[in-house]
Amino acid sequence: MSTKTRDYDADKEKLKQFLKEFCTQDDEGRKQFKYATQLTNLAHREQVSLTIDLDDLEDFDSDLAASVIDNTRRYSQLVGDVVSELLPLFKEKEIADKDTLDVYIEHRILMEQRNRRPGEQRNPQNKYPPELMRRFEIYFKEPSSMKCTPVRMVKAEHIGKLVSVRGIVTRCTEVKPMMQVATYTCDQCGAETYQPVGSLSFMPEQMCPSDDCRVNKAGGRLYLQTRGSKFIKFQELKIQEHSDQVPVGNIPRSLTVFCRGEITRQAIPGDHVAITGVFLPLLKSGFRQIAQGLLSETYLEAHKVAIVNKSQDEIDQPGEMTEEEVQKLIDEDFYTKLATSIAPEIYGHEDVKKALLLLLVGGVDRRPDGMKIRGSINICLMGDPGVAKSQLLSYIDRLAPRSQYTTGRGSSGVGLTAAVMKDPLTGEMMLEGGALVLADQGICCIDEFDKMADADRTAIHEVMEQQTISIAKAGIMTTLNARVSILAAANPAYGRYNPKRTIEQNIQLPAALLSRFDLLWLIQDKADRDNDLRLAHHITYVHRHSKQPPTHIEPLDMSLMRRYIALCKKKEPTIPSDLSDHIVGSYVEMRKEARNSKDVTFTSARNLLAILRLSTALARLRLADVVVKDDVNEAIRLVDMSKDSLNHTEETRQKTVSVVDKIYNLIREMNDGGLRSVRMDDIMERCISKGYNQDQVMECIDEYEELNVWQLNQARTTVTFVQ
Amino acid sequence: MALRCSLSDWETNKNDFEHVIHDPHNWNKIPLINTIPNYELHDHQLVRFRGMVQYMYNPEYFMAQYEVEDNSSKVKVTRSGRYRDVIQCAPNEKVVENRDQSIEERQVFYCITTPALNDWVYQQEKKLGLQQQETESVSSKVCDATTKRQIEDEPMDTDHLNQEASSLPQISTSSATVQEPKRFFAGNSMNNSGSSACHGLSLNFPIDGSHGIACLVKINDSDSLPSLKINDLIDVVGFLSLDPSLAHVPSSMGTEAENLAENPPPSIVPRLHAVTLQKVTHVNLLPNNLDDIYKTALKTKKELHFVLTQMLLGDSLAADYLICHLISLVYMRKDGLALGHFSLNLSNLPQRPDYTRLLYSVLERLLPKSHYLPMTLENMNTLSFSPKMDYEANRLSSGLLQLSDNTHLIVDETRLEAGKLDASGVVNVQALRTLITHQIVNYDFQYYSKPYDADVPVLILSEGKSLLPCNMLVSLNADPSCLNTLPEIFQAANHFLREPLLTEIRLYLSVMRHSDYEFPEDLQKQAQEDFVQMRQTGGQNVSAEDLHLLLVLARLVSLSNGEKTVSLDAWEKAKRMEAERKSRIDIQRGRAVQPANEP
Repeated sequence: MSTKTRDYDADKEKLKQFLKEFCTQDDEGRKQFKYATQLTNLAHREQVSLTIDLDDLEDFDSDLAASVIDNTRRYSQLVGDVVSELLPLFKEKEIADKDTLDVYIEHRILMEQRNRRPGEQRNPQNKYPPELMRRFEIYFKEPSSMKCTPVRMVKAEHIGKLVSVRGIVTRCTEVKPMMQVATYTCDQCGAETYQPVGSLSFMPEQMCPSDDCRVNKAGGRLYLQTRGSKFIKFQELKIQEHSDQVPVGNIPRSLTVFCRGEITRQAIPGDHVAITGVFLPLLKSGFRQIAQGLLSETYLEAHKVAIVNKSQDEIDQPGEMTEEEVQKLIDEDFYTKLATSIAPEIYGHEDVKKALLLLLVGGVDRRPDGMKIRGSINICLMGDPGVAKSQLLSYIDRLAPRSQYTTGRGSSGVGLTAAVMKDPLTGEMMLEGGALVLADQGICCIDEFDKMADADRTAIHEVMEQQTISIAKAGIMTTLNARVSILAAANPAYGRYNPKRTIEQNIQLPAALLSRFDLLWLIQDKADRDNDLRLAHHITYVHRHSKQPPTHIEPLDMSLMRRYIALCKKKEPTIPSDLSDHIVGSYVEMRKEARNSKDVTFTSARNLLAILRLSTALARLRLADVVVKDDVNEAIRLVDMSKDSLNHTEETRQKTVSVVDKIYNLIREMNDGGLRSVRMDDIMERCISKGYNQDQVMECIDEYEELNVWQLNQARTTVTFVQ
Repeated sequence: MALRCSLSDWETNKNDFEHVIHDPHNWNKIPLINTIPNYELHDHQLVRFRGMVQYMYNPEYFMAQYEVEDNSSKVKVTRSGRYRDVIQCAPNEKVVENRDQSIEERQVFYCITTPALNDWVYQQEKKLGLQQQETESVSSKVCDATTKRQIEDEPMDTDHLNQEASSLPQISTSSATVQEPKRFFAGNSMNNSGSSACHGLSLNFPIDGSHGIACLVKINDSDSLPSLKINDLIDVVGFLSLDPSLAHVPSSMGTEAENLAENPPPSIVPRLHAVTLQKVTHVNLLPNNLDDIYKTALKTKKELHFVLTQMLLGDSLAADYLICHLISLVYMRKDGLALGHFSLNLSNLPQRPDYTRLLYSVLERLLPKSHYLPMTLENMNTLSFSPKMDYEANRLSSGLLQLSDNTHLIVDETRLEAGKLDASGVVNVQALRTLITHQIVNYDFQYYSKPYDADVPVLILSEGKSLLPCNMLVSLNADPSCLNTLPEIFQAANHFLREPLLTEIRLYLSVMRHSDYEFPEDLQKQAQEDFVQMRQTGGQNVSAEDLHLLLVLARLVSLSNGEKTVSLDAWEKAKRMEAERKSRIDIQRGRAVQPANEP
């Protein structure tokens, strides 16, 4: 036991020196006495808790810091003693009494000074315990080098040590006053007795231990004085480890946390918290109790409780990528390599993955004269059920350093945008951000985009172009930033994507919203020999070898991807003016094509912006400062491919809808007026004007007559619909 | 020959016992607490328990060593806290308070009797216990306290043990008169959980069984023993701890409910300090040599196929599928994909109320673990399916779907009637769907839900296509002539399934399920070609899922023949089966559409 042999007196001196002398240099080169100023505040009762940053202590004396971590409780008492000794030195002015306990303490001090005679033997219990006099709290902040210990790994060897854990608060008690020092007065001699309470329960003193009563055998009884006793705020929390820390097939572990004083009321159930504290066994008062003797309960004495959210969690992980690593990564085909590393378990869909990679990297924001042009790329994936849309979304959600995953039917009342909530306790109005606000500067993955609530749908128009959310609810009018890239997945309205209908009909979203997506992908499941063979190989391989087949490109692991993308985001590539002609030319070409070939998508100025965004994202991906022609070409290719994925179905439509059916539709339209019969002459006239010849019309009429849809009269002049 | 060893024996003579106990061959001599009433057990006895891990508590911290001082003589003795819950301290002694007590931690698991265990397996176990007791009483008369020495002197007679094991199943059926029927309805068995109800403490069984017991297993050396997951089946040997004072551990932390859940009375939930344990993959007792079973596999399959065909009213294809279903197993998991699960939907069943019941009564005799769930509206609305974390009591309230691997769930959809499914019913149906499609059960931890892998083959019996998704929809092609003689058919089937055929079939099913298999390279090529072919002709109707299923089916077909390598024949047979199955569905659909067009 190394701590045993430590010289605590020497440590005490060191701590004293540390508190008095530790300083940092500020920008102007002046010394900032970090702790000395705080001590002054403590002395003036303007501050209650003193938090000692172990990073500072480590700078001062690393050995001391290490032993603080090893034996935290002892040292927090030590620091407490040191501070009590130092405080009078830092007192610069007289302070007004704040509460009854202050008055009480003042009286005791006066009394002690009056009563004290030099060399007098004093009853140690009558001496004021330091806990009673102390009006401050000492906490340690973990050094930044300290890693979070998973709740599961907090074990017997951590007892007495400072550990830092993360978890979800599953339960918290009300804040209750807990007795720290019990004060008694004797009914016979009037002497006061103090009893410091260390554990959760205590046995009250009965007999007066003062000299008067003992010598005279007066048998004075003690009475508890609530006014003179010192209470401290106390709260018990229970935290449970995060779901991702639980090994497969195990139950999440939990940990009891005791919070005292200023640490209370920091978290409520459901909060994700990071807690630093000392892992301790619970001291029992009645040691004789048989079963208790062998088992001991443990808890974490909290020194710091901080609420964390998921994104903060992730940010402190990645380090900067070194030049070397980047060089290793960038080879011939790294664009494809990065793209295939996205969701490697999902087979194929290379272009979709490339688009998703660009979404992760994002384009460059532009602000010419107050007008903001977003750089973030929005993508919508549509397709038949079971084509791994949701898997792609959840993979992106996991990969992106900042992201939110929701479904269109957001589970909470907050939904996608934001909600104004009334605090049930204080009655104050609060603004609570929805998924889009929380994903600011990140990616918002919205599954079941088509099933979104109408209110959210209108808000999303604004988000997707202006990147803000305006709130005017319950007297609160504000605009929140929502600089997000939206990755949406939508299911066709009729189960499968029906190529005979337009996109709006299939997805049941207005064109205005759909046009805001830079890329719309339709993922379809089509028979194609080469693809099928590769798919079959993949599946049979998995069945045979119980593992994924080796690919020629080894997928990169997630953290490497994350770090590379973070690096890419630092670049702000520009588009050189000589490329403008090329871009403009391609755009004009695209518009022309769209006009000629009855386009189902929306080729508009927004497409031009999409190309610009995609090409800047591509330049970022190369870590280049300038966009080159190849970037633009690839961007155009992607836009074309995404259009192709939609138009492809258009071709099949031409085949499937026969001439007869078209004529039938025409005739049906003529009947829309509710008439049961249509004149043959009218039909002929209408059809011929649409470019069909007489034979085709007759063929149609005969065919449908056979089907018993309508009947032709004997004279072949009118067609009557069969109801 | 019973093996006896008390905790004090163990502590004084650890090495001698260690190698005896760590040898699983000797385990059959240790009293199995599953079958012994607890008044016959005593504190610190060496016992054995077979069951399933239902919940894991936080680790428990205890003093591994402590000193006790005699009040009068002032002699200090060091004692061990291992394998104990209670400090050993006589009234004239006191514990020396010492801050440097070595604190160790141990894992605590809440274990219950394997849920949905069929009665014949229980009888097997019970028989084992009875034999033990008989020999025990004889031997104890002959040589009272010397049993301990005997064990050390006598070399273990393993041959004898094997005989015992193989002769067991016979006895289990002959003692059918004493069989208590397993509960059919999970819903109405509330009145049955007698001992648990009167103490205001639910033992937390997913399915209330008649022989259920619960047990807190505490593991000291968790590193040297296999790591446990929830729902694992374990066979554990250890020392019992029954001290009644354990029921009233006053805790300064936690609520009353929590206290009760963590410290249930040891008379109901005994503590077991594990010395050694092993994970169990199947509950059937297997002989040592499995070669014979492979040799006779084809023959056994024929017999089984014959019986099942009769039961399925002369439908040979459905019987083929049912055999495959009975030996299916999730043999691989990768990235959320579970391979090998083979849920079966037998539809188009004859509309006879007793048919499903009769069918299950036979299946129950073949399968070691199965549960029959009548999918009535009441059951769907009132039962809880997914386990849910109860933070008040700090334990996991079990749900119907907390089942150990390879427990068959037979869902009887013919019992479903039109009506309202309330909120919890919808959640339950959803849970069932997730289980069938992904073999995953989401446990509700309130702040998040966590998926746990399951391997529960689901057989759905329905009149039309089931509302639950299913890998395989087999429309039953019933021979109308069979319908009239339904009770006779099942009588005959039950008569046909007798010893030794019954044991053979049981062993066959257990062994084939866990058999290794190989998929040869040339067949892989063939499969790829066939798939492309299917895509060309079938177009959109053929998806990757179909190939998965076909591969699984081929595997099961070859395993059911006792072949460890998938042969071309098996592949072709699988394809033929699929083709016939699909054509039946098309015919069905055709029939369904036809009447609609006529008016």
